[in-house]
Amino acid sequence: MTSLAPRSSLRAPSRWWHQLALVALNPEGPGALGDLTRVLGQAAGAEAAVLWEAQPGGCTPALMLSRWLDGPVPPDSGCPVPPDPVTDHAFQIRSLALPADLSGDPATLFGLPVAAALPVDYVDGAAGALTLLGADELSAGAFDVAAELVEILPELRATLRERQTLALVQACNTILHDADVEAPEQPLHRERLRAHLEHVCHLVAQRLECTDVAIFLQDTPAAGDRYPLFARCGQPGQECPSSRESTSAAEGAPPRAQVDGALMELPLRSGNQVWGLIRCTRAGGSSLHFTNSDLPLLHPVAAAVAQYWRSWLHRRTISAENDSWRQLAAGISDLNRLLARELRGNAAWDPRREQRVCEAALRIVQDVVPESTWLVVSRTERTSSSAGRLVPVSSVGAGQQASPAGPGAALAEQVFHTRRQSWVTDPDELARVGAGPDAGWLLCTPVGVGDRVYGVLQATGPTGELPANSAQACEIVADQLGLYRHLQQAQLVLQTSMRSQAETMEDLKHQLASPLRTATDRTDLVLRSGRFDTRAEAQLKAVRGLCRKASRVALSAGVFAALSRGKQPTAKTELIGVDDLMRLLIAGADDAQVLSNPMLGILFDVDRDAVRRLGRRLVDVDTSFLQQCLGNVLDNAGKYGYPNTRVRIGATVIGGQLAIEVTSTGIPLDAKDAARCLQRNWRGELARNTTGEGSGIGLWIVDHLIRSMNGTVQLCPAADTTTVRLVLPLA
Amino acid sequence: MAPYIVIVEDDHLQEGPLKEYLSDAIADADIETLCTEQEFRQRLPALRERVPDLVVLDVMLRWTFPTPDALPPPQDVVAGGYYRAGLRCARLLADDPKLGAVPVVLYTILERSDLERDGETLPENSIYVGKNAELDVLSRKVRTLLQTRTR
Repeated sequence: MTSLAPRSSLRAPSRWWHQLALVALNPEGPGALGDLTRVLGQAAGAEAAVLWEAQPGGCTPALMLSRWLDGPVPPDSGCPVPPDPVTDHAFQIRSLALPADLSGDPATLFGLPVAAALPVDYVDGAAGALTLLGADELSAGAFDVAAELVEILPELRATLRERQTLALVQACNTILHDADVEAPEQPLHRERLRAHLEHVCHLVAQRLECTDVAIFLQDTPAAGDRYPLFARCGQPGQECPSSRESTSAAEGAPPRAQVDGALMELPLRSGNQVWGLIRCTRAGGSSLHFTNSDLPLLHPVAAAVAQYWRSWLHRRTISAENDSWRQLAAGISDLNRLLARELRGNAAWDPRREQRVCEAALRIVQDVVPESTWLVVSRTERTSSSAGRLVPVSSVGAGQQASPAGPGAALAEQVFHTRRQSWVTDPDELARVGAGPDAGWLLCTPVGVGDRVYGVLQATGPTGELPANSAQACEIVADQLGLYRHLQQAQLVLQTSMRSQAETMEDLKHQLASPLRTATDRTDLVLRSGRFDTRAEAQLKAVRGLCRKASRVALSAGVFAALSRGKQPTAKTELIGVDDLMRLLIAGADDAQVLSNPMLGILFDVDRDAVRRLGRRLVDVDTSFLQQCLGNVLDNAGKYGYPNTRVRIGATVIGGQLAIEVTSTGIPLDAKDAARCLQRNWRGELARNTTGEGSGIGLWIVDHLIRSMNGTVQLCPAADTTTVRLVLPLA
Repeated sequence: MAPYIVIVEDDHLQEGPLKEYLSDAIADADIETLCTEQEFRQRLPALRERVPDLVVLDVMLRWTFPTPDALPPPQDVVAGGYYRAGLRCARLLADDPKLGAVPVVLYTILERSDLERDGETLPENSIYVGKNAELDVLSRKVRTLLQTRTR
């Protein structure tokens, strides 16, 4: 940079040097080119001054860069002002020119006589001139001062421009940073972003002395060469090119940098993508012009705006996708709750229920894909003549009247057969598949699980391309519907099967229990009446024990069947005393003994004294149920008991209730698992792994049978000893 | 030479009559009974030394009888469970280089279709005899297998 310090050989007073330096180097901010022109004019004692520049290769300084008038500025004609002959002459001869050098009428500009003109050589190689105007003749000293100061003008202008650029970039970055700070997590609201970019426009207008600055931006490259107006600062009511709602590049070419007198524009480019343009206009009567040297000032602003816009679009896309997925997740949760409620009841097919579920599913798609205007769920309906046809179950949006079969019935049929999602955006193809006159896209998704397809989800909308996330959203919702249909059908099969099983088991129980009961009684009679050798007696006892066990199993099967259908067992109670109870306990113990492997040496022992101590108390029980319960408990004691241990069977009164107690030593029961023993199909890990046998329903049945007699079952584990207590109310 | 037969049956009420019946049906038969899958596995080394002529296997077979010092069963038993223990034993025999040729009778209350559910097939060395059939059926099958093996 050239030093601006005044030298002693110079004739220009130092105050002018100082003022020029102040314009270019003021630490509080750079001045404008007009300020430099003003100082030059004042230093020369002129009433006005004008700075010119020639277009590249031009032979006349046709572009007016700035002007200064000492007094009120006359209204601008709005038309380009050509240089006067004196200025033109100075430009040609590259030296001072005076009116006296030319013949003819005295030259004037803005109503003032031209006093002199000096050539100017700008730093970027452009040529120009400075015109000094005034009614009074300028002194020779003034000319000298002016000539001296003009020499430094190109460097000062370049310095000024550099500082202006830097200040503009800093201010622009501050605005965009403020925009970032305003919404650090989410993309800034569009209107707020518009306000910030209008602020940028104001800033540029101020720095470049424009009357109008506009930023045109497009949201998506798919918008082609149309760039809608996004932000603008200008004088209201002024008609200028940038006040239009949108602009487009000529002949399909992307916007390019251009300077055309009163208009300057630059593309807003980020990477290879042009997102829009920034346009500066000196319209509405200004006679000043832009030159190529103004472009570098706009470049960094354009780059910053383009970068911010791309980043904002990216954040907006991510945010929209996140919102969309969140919405979908919430919708699916709601749908699943609805499905769970619907599946809780009868699984039989109910058209109203199916419609409710499908409508809920379609509402989710509509929320997540707002571009969809017509949604239909169709299900397959078997016909006698074909494998099945698609019948609409539920629809959302307009279009039902246009095509009752839903949009794109032909594509839906194809998807149903291929079991693959498919979509169409081509207008001819849309027409062929019957997507409807307003459809811009059509998406068909199979509703099914695995290879099973139950129907098709059809979605359509007017936009020219498939909306983002729509394929995934439809797939997820269709999968949920498919899963629901699958579960519903499986539940139906299961319910039918369970009912059939329960009925079969009840029937088997009747068929089994009766002959076994009879066989047991007859064996009992034989044992009581006859005399046999020990071996025969043992065999007969074993037969009796097996018959009783078979009866118990049959009864268990019946209870199991009833409970599986949600039916509680009904006790047929009778009052029994100590003798009956004693017989029942001894019979149970005998059977358990016979059925227990003698190799294990487990002894089943009834504590008769304890039972007798009950005295004359009576208990109201269903003896068949009680036999069943005792048998199941003793089965467990034999199954899980350690070898050579004793199973003690007793009875006592606790809190006014009868408690039949079976205490055995064997696989330990964890205290925390005691309550779980009464759950259906629950088995302790040790028990399950050690013996393997059993299915975990014995105590579950006992619990239900005892409760049917208004009693309770208690399990009291202590180390490897477990006491099972059947508590029944005394009469 | 007296045939050597191994019966694996965990129900003592069935094991006794079964052993008695086969003893009557097969003259001079040397019959050994095992009660649990664990006992069968522990006996395998001895069976390799003296290879049985026939094994009669119950299918629903408990792993062991409870004792305070019982060891936990191996992983394949935990995973496979109680309901197909006999099939596991038959496969152990079939896969054993020394015992692979020993004929096995799967003697069970289950139906054959239950055993072959989910595409399972019976081990090559085994035949199926239902427990709901008369004991005569079992003894005939056993006799035939022993004769075939002797030839």
